[in-house]
Amino acid sequence: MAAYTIKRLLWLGLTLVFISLVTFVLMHSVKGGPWDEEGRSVPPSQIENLNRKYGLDQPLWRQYTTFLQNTVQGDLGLSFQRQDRPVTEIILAGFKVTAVLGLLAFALAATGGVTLGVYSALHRNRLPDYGSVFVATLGAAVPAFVIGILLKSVFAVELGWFATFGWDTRDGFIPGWLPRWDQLVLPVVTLAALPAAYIARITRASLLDVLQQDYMRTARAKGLGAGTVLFRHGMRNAAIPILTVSGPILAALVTGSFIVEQVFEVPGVGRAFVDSVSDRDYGMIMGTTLFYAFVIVLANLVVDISYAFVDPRVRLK
Amino acid sequence: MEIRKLINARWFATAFAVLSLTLAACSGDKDTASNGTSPAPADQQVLRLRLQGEPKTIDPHLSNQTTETTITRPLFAGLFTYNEKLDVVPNLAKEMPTVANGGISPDGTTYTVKLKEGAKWSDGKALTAQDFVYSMQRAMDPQLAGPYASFFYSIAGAGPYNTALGTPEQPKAPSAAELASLRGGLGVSAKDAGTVVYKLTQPNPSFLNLLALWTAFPVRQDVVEKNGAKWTEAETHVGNGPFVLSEWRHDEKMVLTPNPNWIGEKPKLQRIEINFIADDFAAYQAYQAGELDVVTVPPAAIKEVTQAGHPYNDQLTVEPDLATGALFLNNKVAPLDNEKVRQAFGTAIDRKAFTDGLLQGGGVPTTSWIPPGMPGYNADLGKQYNFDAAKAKDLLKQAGYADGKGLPKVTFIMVNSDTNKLTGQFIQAQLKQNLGVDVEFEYVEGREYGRRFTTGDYVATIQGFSADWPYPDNWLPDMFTTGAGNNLVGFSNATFDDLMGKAAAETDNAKRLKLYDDAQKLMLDRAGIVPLYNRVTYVLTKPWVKNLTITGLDGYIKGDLYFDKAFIAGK
Repeated sequence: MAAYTIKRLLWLGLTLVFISLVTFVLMHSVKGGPWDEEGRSVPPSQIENLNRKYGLDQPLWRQYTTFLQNTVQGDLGLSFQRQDRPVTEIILAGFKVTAVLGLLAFALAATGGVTLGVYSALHRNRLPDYGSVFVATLGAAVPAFVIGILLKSVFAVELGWFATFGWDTRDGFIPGWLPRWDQLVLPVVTLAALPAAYIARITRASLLDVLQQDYMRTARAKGLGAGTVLFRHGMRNAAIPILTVSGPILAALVTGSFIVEQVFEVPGVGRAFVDSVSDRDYGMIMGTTLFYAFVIVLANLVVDISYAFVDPRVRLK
Repeated sequence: MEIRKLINARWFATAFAVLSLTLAACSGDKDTASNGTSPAPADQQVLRLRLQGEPKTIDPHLSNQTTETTITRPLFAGLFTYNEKLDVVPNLAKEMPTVANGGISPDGTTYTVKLKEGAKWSDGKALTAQDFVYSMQRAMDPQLAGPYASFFYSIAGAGPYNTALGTPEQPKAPSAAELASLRGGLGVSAKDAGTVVYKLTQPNPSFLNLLALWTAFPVRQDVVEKNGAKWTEAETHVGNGPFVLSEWRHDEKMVLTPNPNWIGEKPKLQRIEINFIADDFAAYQAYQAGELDVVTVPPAAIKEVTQAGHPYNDQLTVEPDLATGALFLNNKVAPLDNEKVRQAFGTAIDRKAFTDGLLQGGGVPTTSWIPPGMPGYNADLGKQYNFDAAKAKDLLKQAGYADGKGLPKVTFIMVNSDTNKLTGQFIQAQLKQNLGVDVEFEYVEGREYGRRFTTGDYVATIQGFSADWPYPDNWLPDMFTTGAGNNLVGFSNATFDDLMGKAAAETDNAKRLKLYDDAQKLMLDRAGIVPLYNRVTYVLTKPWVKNLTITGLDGYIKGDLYFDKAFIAGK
């Protein structure tokens, strides 16, 4: 087990080096550099000065090895386009927002999805079932930005219940962590829609399967109450597939809220990542890519290791 | 020199706008109009504004986008600024320097500017002439690499100092002592604590315009040197404008509050919130929801708000920008090196259909280059390019390509966005329909576009240009003189170059304007560039915002020259 973990960690390091190399090569092979601003002619001497300042006057291999050296020491360098702020600082600030948003959305998706799924399964092929399947399909089929804009137009612009933009954690209801409630609801609901629909579908299918099992009939036959049957015998077994998809869903939510961040102007890391590419902010591109890679590779590792605890049949070598 | 993005759109902007418009169609405005004109209590003096995302810098010496310069204006003050008619007026300078009062030497090469007494930095320290000396040295420092530095090369020693490190082709490695000597040799000095002297290599009648530019704003030496690039953070920022930066929540918003040490009239606004909202339509919705006090109307909503009887009619200001959009046809590349072909293109486009249909009124047709609202504008120029399909075809025939036969393929490049694609389709259809010519449009990514456009690696494109200062020398010499830094169309004409030389040396304003007018006419007759429209900005302002003056020189946030005068009343 320990040997396996160490081996995987070494692989993690190698994977990250590989990803950074690919990113570096791609980034420099794309045409247009950080100083090629649309419609502005910067004198060559100025460009040379900027290149010198950010080390872009060095040969590419040297730039890359310098980057690796610094990264190993925990220094992802400076952003080219953001007042020379350290990349690490920008990523961590953005990730805090993205992670909070993602976790809230996950909590909502899990409770909402499971509730909808159970309700649906218990009313199989009746109106409530069709209703919740419809809602779930809608959530899965409509892109997040459409849902976001729709919710914003109706609930923020028309009804004025919520703010149309922002994630103000300084004056929020948990200062430093959560924004004002009127800024919180719409982004979380928008982000939760798709995974909630997915979880609802899985829950419904899984519970329907379980409900037909012999032990369920036995449980009912021995006179247990409907609630006990459903929760102690039904849901416990139906929960396994739900838990299996929850890991990836959580990872996706925590790393993939870019669209929602755009629609509601949430200052998360997803937006910073995408902006860095169009800005050719080399420091930020390398930093955010590596950061995402690290989060995802680490999440996979944790899942693999956790299998060994959940299922004793899995032997990790 | 700044050539702004004509149209900026994110990939989902169109979908966004269509969806939101549909939903907003039945919306009513929730504001209650008020006519109160006496300022509301201090706690209500809050102005909520929008910026298109986080500015990359607010260092005046590094700023170049309108989203950046617009922040430097309330935070810093230069020696000069503009009044509502866009005349240069003293700001921190005591008076306008003239030859008569000794402020300008008779030969026009020395400017002696006296500071107002009592000027201070926002932390209370006295502002002296030495601060202006340091700031100009810093602005010209080759290691700082400020984007606007080359505008100031008329200051003695500025060019040699700013280019001391050479070019990629010919890098130079001056010693620290050499650099220091170049820096010290810059033609800016402090005669005494209250007098700055600028020495120029030759007369430059626009020099006071340059001193009103953000690049000439002072920054504090000890603050900059102590904090490096972080000196512009709210915690360390020291400025000298009517407002100070009290919060910069990155990627979220900035908060400005009055500078207690501002020597001018005390601002009535107690708080300016600048929210970073990337999408134009999202900002418009925030205005509808009452979360913003001022917003620029996105093109998709212009029709709606200009409709008679719309509740926003009273909140709307239509402001002609000092900006012109044009076809940039590369004068050096076949077939556009043939001036008849360029003239044919210029005559084949129905500009009114362009501004009314495509821009939805966000522009007015023009055939002239320098825009209305500033010296140098001449409505009669380029009239020969008024839309006339038959004439256009004839011009093409004269060029040797009757009915477009044998004409080498012309490919326009534009930044890849939905709105640009609509523009491209429009121009393509016009040239096909009116001239029988098939042109292609290639849509490339922003930075790639920037590289190709600024290095002349393109055949044709559509671009907008807006004024840094309201005088023709911002619009002609650097863009059309043979080999000039921003001559991106590759125009070259000996008579034009000669006129530019004469105009630069002419100190009589009327004569100078005449020289520029002749040059502009020459350039347009040769179709050096094909102007299409002057940009018009539609700004909505909530009824409780008073005294916010919007001018054609404003940066991204409209009214940025006048935040110190604005106030809230009757909210």
